[in-house]
Amino acid sequence: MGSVVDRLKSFFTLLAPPRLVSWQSMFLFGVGLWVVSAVVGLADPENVVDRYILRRVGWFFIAGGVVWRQALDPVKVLGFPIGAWAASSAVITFFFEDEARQWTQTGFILWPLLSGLLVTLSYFLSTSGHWRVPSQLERIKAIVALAVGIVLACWLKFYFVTQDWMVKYPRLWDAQIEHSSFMATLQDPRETLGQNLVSEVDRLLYRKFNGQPWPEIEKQLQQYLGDPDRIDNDLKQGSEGHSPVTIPFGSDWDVTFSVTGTGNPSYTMTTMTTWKSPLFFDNRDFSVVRVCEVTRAPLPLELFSEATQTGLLECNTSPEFIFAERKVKQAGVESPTDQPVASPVQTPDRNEAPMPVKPIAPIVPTPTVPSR
Amino acid sequence: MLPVVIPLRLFLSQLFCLCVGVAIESTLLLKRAELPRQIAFHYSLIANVVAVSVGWLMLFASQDLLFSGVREQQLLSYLFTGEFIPDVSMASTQFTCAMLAIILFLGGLMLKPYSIRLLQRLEILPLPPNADVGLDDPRLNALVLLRLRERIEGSMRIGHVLSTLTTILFFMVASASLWL
Repeated sequence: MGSVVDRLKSFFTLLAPPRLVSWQSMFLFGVGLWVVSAVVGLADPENVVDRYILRRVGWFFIAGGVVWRQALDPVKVLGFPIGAWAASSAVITFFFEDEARQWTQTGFILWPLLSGLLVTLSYFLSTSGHWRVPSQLERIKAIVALAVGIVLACWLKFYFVTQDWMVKYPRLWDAQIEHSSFMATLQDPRETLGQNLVSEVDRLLYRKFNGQPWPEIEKQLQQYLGDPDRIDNDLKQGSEGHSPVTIPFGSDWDVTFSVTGTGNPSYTMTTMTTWKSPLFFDNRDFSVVRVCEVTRAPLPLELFSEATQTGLLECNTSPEFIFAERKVKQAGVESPTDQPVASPVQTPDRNEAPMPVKPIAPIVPTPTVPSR
Repeated sequence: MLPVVIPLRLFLSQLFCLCVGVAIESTLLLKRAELPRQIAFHYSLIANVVAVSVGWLMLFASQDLLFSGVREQQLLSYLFTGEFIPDVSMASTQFTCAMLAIILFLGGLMLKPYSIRLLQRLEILPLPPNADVGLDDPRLNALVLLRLRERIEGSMRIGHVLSTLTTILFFMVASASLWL
């Protein structure tokens, strides 16, 4: 207990202004304005303008106080000075905050640049507040800080550029990111589980249909249609010498299968993989629809070739599927009317939405009805 | 909501290339140009970080030119899925990729020594201590400095070539081990 009280005491003595013109008084003034804006908001929730102005001015003073503090004595966490980052984040909150109290894109990009500039600036200021020429080592540190700031800003900018691309080509959400050497996903374990399952489904479909003779493909399709549980059993019990699919958290999952199309030019197979969340406190279901199209592969051009007609499988993860909207629609991937869940290929709102609410790649989890 | 698709692998591989470049170039500066340890490290670190940031800025400057038409789709397909779109023209994409690789390599080769020289002239980076041999004749001093500069820049160029080869080799081995 004592240590907590001591820490609080030292915190307040740190914030107590030693004289009127000091960074503490500036900081406290800013905090005071901020509190006043909160009180105004409580008293009169309709009054947005006054609150907005008060908060902005408050942030301005907080930023000024933090910059002043940073210039006097850089704060270090684990030996790494963070004062510049804190100060620049305060400055950016003042200048680059939108109505929803989120940083704008420009704010994020300017953050590392501003931090680098502040680090450089702090080397030009002496503790008494006068300008000075930085020492040799400090000049090197300053140029490294600036260059690293530029690199970090470029990384953030590139991240925003990729997000713009994903808005421009919404099907990039369906791409199989794990084969890319540039992009990565930070996903929920529940969705990663489904991703493993869906890749198993993909593998089974490719094994059964890609490059197989056409009559064989039609036979397989007949079998799958005649027995709705067949694909599920193939995956769960293993088929043709392939081991059954096991996933780390139990086996509560299900795959349904349907086929549309006449076979001329193609069959469209829709598989829906549904799985339960592996977390015991979360009883939601997740599902992914994979639409694959099996077409007759082009025959070799030689007249007397003995090659037989084979099939060619394309799923909604392949690049030609992602980038060729019109071609796919002409090829006959139309919405099967009896499908309970619209597949990612056919939902027009995905293409029109400026930003999908739950953008997941490479799979499209649709949290469906919560089961009990 | 966390961002879900981020170019994390790109950032990590760039960090890796930076580390390899700094390690190889600072070793060469240390052994071949006989600079002190700290100065060698600073030279190679600053040259590499400056080269990387200039490269990014040039990418953003030429973004509209680079990502246009069919080439945009091909490049995006490669960025996101690791493969190009079959059945779509590859001609301009191949040319662009080859030009990009050549420009990146040659640009680094020229920019790294140049940035060091510029920063030395701006008195941000120190001259190496063995530049000043204390001869009476200023012309001799200048000659010594010239020789030293040549050696530094030569080592940086060799280091750039070696680090490029090392990273290419590493990524080839890594992708081969993924396929096997």
